Formats: sequence, C-alpha cells, structure tokens
Amino acid sequence: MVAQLIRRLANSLWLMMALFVFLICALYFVANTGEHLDSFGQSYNWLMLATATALTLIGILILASVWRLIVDLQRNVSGSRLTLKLVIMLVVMALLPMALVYSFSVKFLRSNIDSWFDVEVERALDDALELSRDSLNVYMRARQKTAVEIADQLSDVPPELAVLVLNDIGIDAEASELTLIGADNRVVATTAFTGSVNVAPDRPADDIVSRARDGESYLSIDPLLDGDLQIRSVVPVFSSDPVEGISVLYATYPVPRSSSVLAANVQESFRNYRQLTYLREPLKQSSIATLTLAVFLSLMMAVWVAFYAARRLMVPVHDLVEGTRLVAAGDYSTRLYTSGRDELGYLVNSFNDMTDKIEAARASASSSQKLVEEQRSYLELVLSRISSGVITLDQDHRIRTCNDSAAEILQLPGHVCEALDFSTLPPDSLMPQFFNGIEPMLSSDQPDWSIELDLVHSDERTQVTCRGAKIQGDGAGQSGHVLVFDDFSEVVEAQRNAAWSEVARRLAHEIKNPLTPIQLSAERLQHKYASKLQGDDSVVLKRLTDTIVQQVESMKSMVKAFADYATTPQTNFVSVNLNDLINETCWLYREGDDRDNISLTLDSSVRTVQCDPHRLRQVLHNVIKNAFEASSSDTSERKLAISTRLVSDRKTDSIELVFEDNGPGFASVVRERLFEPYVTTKNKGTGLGLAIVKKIVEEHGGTVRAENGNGLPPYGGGRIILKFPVSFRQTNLHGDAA
Amino acid sequence: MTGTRSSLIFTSPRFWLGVLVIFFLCGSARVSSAGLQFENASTYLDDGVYYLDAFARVEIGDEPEKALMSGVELHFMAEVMVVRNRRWWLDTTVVERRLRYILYFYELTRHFRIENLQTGESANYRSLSAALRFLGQINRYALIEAAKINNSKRYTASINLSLDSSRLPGPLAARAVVSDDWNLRSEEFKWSLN
Repeated sequence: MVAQLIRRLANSLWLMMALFVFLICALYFVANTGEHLDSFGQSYNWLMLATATALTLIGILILASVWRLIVDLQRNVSGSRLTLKLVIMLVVMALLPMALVYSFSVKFLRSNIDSWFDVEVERALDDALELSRDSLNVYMRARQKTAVEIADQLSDVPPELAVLVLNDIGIDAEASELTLIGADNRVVATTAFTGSVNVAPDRPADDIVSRARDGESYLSIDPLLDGDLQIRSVVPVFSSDPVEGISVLYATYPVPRSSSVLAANVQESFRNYRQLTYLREPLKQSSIATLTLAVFLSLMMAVWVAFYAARRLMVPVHDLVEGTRLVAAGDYSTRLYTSGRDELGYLVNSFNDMTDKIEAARASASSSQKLVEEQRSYLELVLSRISSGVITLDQDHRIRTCNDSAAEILQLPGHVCEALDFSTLPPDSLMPQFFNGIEPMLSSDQPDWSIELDLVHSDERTQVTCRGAKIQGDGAGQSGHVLVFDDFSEVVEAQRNAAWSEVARRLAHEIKNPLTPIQLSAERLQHKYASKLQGDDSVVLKRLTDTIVQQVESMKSMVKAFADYATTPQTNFVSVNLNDLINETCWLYREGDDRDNISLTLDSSVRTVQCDPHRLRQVLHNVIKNAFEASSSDTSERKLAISTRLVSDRKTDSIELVFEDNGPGFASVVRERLFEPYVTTKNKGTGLGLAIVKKIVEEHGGTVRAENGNGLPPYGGGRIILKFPVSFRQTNLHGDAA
Repeated sequence: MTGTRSSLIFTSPRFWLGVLVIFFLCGSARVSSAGLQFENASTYLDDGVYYLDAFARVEIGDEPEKALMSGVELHFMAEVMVVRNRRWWLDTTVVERRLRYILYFYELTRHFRIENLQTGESANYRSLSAALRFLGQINRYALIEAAKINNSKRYTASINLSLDSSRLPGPLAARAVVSDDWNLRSEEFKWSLN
C-alpha cells in the first residue's frame, strides 16, 4: 500500500513540479535575502523546515525509483536495462556541465565577494568616522566652554533667581535644556529651550554629578532615538561663599541637524561596511551553501527527470516488448496504446498494423483450414457411406486413406488399414490378394485402368472390380494412386438367383401344363383298360399307370417347389418374438419322431424381431428338416442344437440363430454352393430348401452361412448360422423377383 | 590483583557518579562562558496591578560580541507568561507578553545602545557589561491587573530571555541554526504569582 503510494507519487509530474518550484522559490528567497543581509524573521525556520521536508520527500521518491529499477533489473523486467542506460546517460549529461558550472561559480563567488572589500575604502570610512568624531569633539568642547561660562555666571546667583538667569543665558547659549542641581542634590532650576518643557527634567546619573562636584566635568555626545545627537555637559558651579556647597549645571545641546545627518550617514556607512566585513566569511559560506543546494536540487531534478523521461520513453518500448512476447506466444489480439506521433508512436502503429495483418491472415488461414477440414469431413462422410471401397496410395504404394467399405470388402480391420504397405498387409484378409492383383497395374504407369479380381478367402469368393487412377501431385507426398472398387459378388449372385428364378418359373410353367393331361391320361388309361386286361397285364398296367400318376404327383410337387422358389409372396412384417417362434416350431418336431432331439439355448435378451412369421417359420422348417435329413442316415438319434444370441456391432444390433446337427457336416465342394438352387446331397429333394432359406433370410435383411463344427461341442456336425437385424425396414426393393 | 581492583572501580557507583559530575561540570563550564540566566524574578501587587521585577545575568559570548562590535544588531526577547494551574487539567494561559530589545554598538560615539521596542525608550552605555546589565534588568513592569487574578486559584509566572536568531542577517541566521555560540536562551524561571 505504502510502496504503491510512493510509486504513484514518484510518477506524479504535478507533485514533483510543485516540489521543485517550491524549492526553487525558497532557494531564490534565501539567496536574495542572504545577499542583502536582511534578516529572514521567524519564517526562516519554517522555510528551512519546509525545504528540508521537500528535499527529504524528493530524496525518498528518487530512492524509491532507484529501488524499483534495481528490483526490475533483478527480475529482468523488459526495458529495465534500457531504462538504466537512459538514466545513467541523462544524469551524466546533467552532472558534467553542472559540476563545471559549480566549480566556476564557487570560484567566481569567492572572488566576487572578496572584491567587495577594499583596504582604501575601509581606511576612508575609518577616516570619515574619525573626522566626524573630531568635528563633533570640537563642537562639544565649544559647548562645554559655554557651559563653564554659564556656570561662572550662576556662581553667586540666589536659587530663586536662578531660573531667570538660566532663561536669559540659555537662549544665547543655544542650549536645549539647562538644569541647576543644588548642593543638596535637588534641582534648583531648570529650563528648556526646544519644544515642551519636561515636568520631570532629565538629569545626569548621580556618580556624574558627584564627580562634577569634585571638579571633574563631564562631557558626552549621545545618540537619540530619532537619530539626532545630543551633547551633554555637567560642570560644577562654584560659589564665592565656601559655606554653600558646590552646585552642578547640567546642560544639553543639540548638534546641528546637518551635522547630525552627516555624522549619522557616516556612522551608518561605516556600520554597514564593518558588518559586511564581518559577514564576509558567513556570506561566502551561505552563498556557496545556497549554490551547492541549488546544484544538489538541480541534480535531484535531473535524476528525477531522467527517471521520469526514461519511464515515459520506455512505456511504448516496454509495451512493444510485451506485445512481441505475446505475439510470439500466439496471442495476436494484442493492441498497443499509441502515445504520440514520434518514431516510437510510428513503431507502435506499425506493430498494431502488423498484428492486425497477422491476425487477419491467421483468421483467413484458420477459415481456410476449417473449410478444408469441413470438406475433408464431408468427403470422409461420403466415402464412408458409399458402398464402393476407396483407397488412396502414396507413391510408395502405402495406404494413405481407406474408407469403411474398402475395409469391409477386403475384410480388413478399419483401424489398421492406413499406413500399410505390401510388406505389412494382414495375411488373414483379402488385402494381399487384392494388392497382388493390382500391383502390375500400379506399376504400369497407366493413368486410368480397370481390372476385375476374383478373391478367395476361407472358402468365400469375392468378386471385385477395381478402377484405378494416378494422382499427379505437385509436392512430395501428393502423388500416388486412388483405387475405387466394388464387391459385385452379390450382384453376380443376385443375377444368378434371378436367372434360377426365371428358370424355375419357366420350368414350372412349361412342365406344369402337360402334367395334368399326363396324369389324367394315365388315370383314364387305367380306368379304361384295366378291366379289359387279364392277369398280369392288368397288374402291370395298374403298376405302370400308378407309377405315372405317382411320378406326375412328384413332378407336380417339384414344380410347386420351383414355383414357390420363383415366386416371392407379399411379405407382411410384424414384431415377432423369435424365441417363441422357435419354441413353437420345434414343438412339432419333438412331438413327432422319437429319434429327434432338439436342444434349445435361447438368449433371453432376444426379444422381438421385425419379420414375416410365416416366411420365417418356413425358414425354420427347412433348416430343421435339412438338418435331420442330413443326420438320419448315419445315426440313430438325430440331434439338433438351436441357439439364439444378441450380437451388437458398431452399426446395428443383430440376432444370430445357430443350428448345429450331429451329422457329418458339409463337404467343402458342397458348402461353397450350398445355398444355390438344385444343390443337394440327398437322393430325394429339389435342392431348393436352403436356397429358399437364403432367399427368405435375405428378404429380411439377414445373412446365412454354413460352417462345419469339426467335432467341436455341442455336436460337431454341420452348422447353419442365420443372422437377422433386430429392426429391419421392409422396402419395395424386395419385390417379386420372378 | 590489579585487574580485580580495576574491575572493582568500573563496577563502583562512585566511579560512575564521578564521571557524571565531570560530564556535567564540563557542560556547565561550557554554558557559563556564554549564557543567559535569570537570578531573580518576582511580582508584587501595587495599586491593583501586578508588577514584575526581574534580573538576569547576560553574557553573550565571544562570537556574538564580535558580531555586535562589527555592527550587527542583536535582538533579544523576554517572554513573560502567567498560567493558572489546574490540578486535573492542562494549565491555562492568563497572560503572555513579549518584551523585545535591540542591542547594537554606535561606533560614532562608541556607545552600546539598547532600544526597548515596546516603550520606544533607549539607553546608551559606554561599556557592554553595563548595557547587558541593563538588558537583564526589568523593573516595575506592569504585568497584569489584579482583577484578572482569582486569589482562590493558584497562578505560576515564568520568564525567559533569548537571543532572537531569526532577526540576524541572513548569512548569520543560517550559521545560528547549527552553532551553539548563537543559541542563547535562558532557562525558564518560574515563581508563584500569588
């Protein structure tokens, strides 16, 4: 608090100006008065006290500034070193001429004061004073002589006539006052000739009177209050009668006015000169002290002005340093206060302009970066949403970017696809095959190319068509390749399914038409000719016609199966509890053949699924029936484990439905085309069961795949895995394919 | 044995008392060379007025005497004060008078002159000692009317005499601030008024 106040006072221009003006006035007053040898009066002490206080205050404020500068230097505050240099420079600049002027002033002061005094003048004044004294002495002696004459005239005058005599004599004698003191020491008569008569006349001291009676006359000249001189003479008055005592005449005479004035002038001049002579050394000392004080005051002023100027000068420099630090630290919002129109002001303005431009450029760069970022995000979003895989490669054929579809098509974990090269491709993915396939194209320097690849991994075929283009970049790291590829396995499969559906539909259409006439013809043949034939012929006919009818029935059922496969009925999606549907379906099989053993492991978290319950029930029937048929030939007990579980991946929740039998599993040749129509290992069957399963599952947005249990629990046989999305929206895309 | 004796000397109260006495004697010797000292002061009631009689021994010392002989005027000031004493409170001033005198040497007639600035009277003396004797003497100075004094209360009068250094010429005044030679001031002399 106190330090802050001192700092504020030290920086206060008006306070310091007031103090300095006061001190200068005081100094001027002291110097002026000392020179004229006047007294200061009582105010001198107060002036000294105020001066000392002001000096002390200035000293404290300057010391505070010095201390602050030292602290700033220790703390390495910006601008402190320059302030120190400025202060030292300004103080030295002030000190050198000041010291020079001071030394010469002291020398001149001494010689100047000494030059006031001259031996000749002193002697002349002494002589003048002595002359005045002699002149006055002559006049005094004359007056005393007059007094003696008056005393002689009064020697035998009776006391009662003394006044009359004194009056008569006194006028002629030019006395101002005559007093006769009797032998009994009482005033006998007195008379005055100038002005009023004193009631109590002035009388000489008793010892003077006594000495006068002893015959020792008294004569003196005394100064009066108004500056005039008065001659006093005391002479004895002897009487002829020795009996009478000796009286005393006291006479006063005025010195003529002109003589008094001249004598007083001489006296005053002499006094002044003597006083000046006496005060010569004190005058020198006080003058030098005043000069020293003035120099000291000037020095203090110089020091303070140096601090003040340095501080004022350093404010913009300090601001500039701090501003530069802030700019270096990345804060471009710094604006400095412009103090003036000088070069520093121009510098500050330039700094502000610079920070303005930097900030504008930074804002522009930031805006551009943000725009680029937005565009990149937009591009990433687009790339992540399109079904085509997009991969960009640098010139060293390392993966720079890779969208989700690419990772999905190439069965690559998304987070490891970037910064891969040929040497670090994950072997359990399609990447090695993919890159081996496109490597010749990458090396061929063709600007645009296209290639179709057939990738096989884990008995799954993935057909990919890939288009590539070369990127010609300006700088290093900008050139490379962009690969766009699509998995058209599903398209091929869909085309195949569509072809099969068409085949089935035409087959059903073409076969179904002649079947009924054939069946009718066979039945009529039997009906017409059975009764006409005898014996074995009738039996043979009946067996043949029965065979025809039976086979026609069989063909009808096969044609119906083809028709069912080719026809996609209108599906009606509702929320169905899959676990309940499975329980309900399996109950039919449990109540049927005793060899059937179905174990259910149903996840209670599997609630409802959007599906057509009739179609889904057909799926369950087909799969269960297919499993039991696969197991029936080898084992006496047909086991089937059905389990459900909820699978959550990053996109959606799905329900996985696993069927596993205790059969021999799928042969690898069969498994590849297990879900295609007319693929079957059974002697009887259309080969459409699992194809229909696949069709219905895909209608529900799900997938189906087959695995071998390889003897692992629970039964180690063939395994059919269905996967349904929990929420699937039916669209018109799933229309009738036939 | 000697060490013990010397340590005994330093611990003796008599030793330190002696040192103190010597110190005061030196001090008083210095003061006695120049100084103002009231030897007597008293008041008496006459015709309803308290009159003051006082006598002070005045010795101005070498440096002021030299200045006086060189034409410098010396201003003296006698301060007389009467206060009413109060037991439980600060004393109250009843009257305060300042008597001013100028002493200077009149070279032409070789007189030492004393002017009383209150009365306008002046006196001439052939010798400095006579002038100083006159300066230190106050006879029948009408101090205060008896009507202003309550006899049931207690009053104390005091007087001191000093050289008014502020009236010295400028160069001397600066010196007088720091020099003891010019610091002439009597101790305050107090007595009971009634």
